[in-house]
Amino acid sequence: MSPVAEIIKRDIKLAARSGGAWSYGLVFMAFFLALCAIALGGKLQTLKDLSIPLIWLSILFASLLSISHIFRQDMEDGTMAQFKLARLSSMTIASAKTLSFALIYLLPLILTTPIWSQFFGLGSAELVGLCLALLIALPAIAIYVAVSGALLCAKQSGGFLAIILTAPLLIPTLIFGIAAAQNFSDAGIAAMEFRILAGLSFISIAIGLPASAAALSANLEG
Amino acid sequence: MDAQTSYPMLTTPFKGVSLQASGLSAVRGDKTLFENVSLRIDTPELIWVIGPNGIGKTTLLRICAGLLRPDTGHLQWQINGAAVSAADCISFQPPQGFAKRGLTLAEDFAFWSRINGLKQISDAALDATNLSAHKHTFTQNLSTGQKQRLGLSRLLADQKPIWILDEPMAGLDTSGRAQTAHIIQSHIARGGIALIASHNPASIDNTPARRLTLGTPQ
Repeated sequence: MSPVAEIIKRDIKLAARSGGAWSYGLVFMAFFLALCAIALGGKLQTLKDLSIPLIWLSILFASLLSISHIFRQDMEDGTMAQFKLARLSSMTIASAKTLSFALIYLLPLILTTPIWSQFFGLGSAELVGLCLALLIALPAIAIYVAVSGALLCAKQSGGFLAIILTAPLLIPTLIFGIAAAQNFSDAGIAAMEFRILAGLSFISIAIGLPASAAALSANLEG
Repeated sequence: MDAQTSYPMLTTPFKGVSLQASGLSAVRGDKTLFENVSLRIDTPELIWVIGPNGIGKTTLLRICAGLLRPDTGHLQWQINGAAVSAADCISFQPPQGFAKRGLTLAEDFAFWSRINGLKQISDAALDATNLSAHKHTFTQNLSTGQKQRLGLSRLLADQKPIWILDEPMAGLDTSGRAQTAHIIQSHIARGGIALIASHNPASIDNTPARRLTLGTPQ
């Protein structure tokens, strides 16, 4: 098995034994959406109109919550240094850790979206559009959050800095993600916003992954 | 302990191993940790790096392992007279080892064997460090000595000729120290090199050893 698959397998095993750390994002999402529903007065029509942006925001915020889980523990306990001595490139480490972050922390958020959408009375076409948009944007969300994680993994604090660093990168994804989900019932998957969203994800792979790798290298040698 | 000599894999000799460092210095913030440290190890030998806390022993070790860039100076590692990269020749063990919380000893050992590209998971290394009975213990429940031995078992399995160990004897009792000393002795005996930081260097029988003292004029 390749080192990338080995690291992902190990991370999934560790997450399953971590006492539920992987589910904090889900809990946050549930609270955030429940509080939004209360704050907006609980009118079903208002909630339905706002459900797509609210679910998008809850997923982005929940993903930012997990920033410190991506690289920090491996950095602190010496695992990163050993990866380097095992001839793994920073790019391999960054790819593996970003993938396991996407699988462990982000995918559960997207998979539970149908449940939340029921509370907001979202139609089935909008729900399909929302899930598709989230899945297409998944690489961009995971990679940009990982860039901040890699930059800050050698620092004890820096959560606030992470949000400032990541938010501007995620704004285009948020704008086109919401628009794609909303236009799905009219134009389907061929909607221009879906193509732009896919483009944003590809750009994140081309730019974000090498940036994470460079940040990891710099922090390792620091 | 005798298990170690009964596995040929753990006794195949290393040849032509050397570590050469010249003019190394390291600066942290506005403090110079050490300046112009030179070191040449080209025969099987054990070097103790000694000096008070905070003098830069760990930094020197990490530089020699290729994990940190020195502020000045040059490093070269060789096998059979040919220059190689750090990853080709170096095993590095930090003070507390690097066992991952949440994995069992066997899982942690197997993970690193696969990451290091070893063809098979070698039980010989676990036998040689008397850890076979603890395979299913979670690493966070291992004692200090067992964690240190898990680190050593990975060094044995990894088969790299240069060992760089940071305080491998800290927190060990007499028998633990003897066991660690025996493993290090066997490594030197097969032609390897060990660079070890310690506050309390042990005398290891039949093993050529030198001391590098940081914090005093070289």
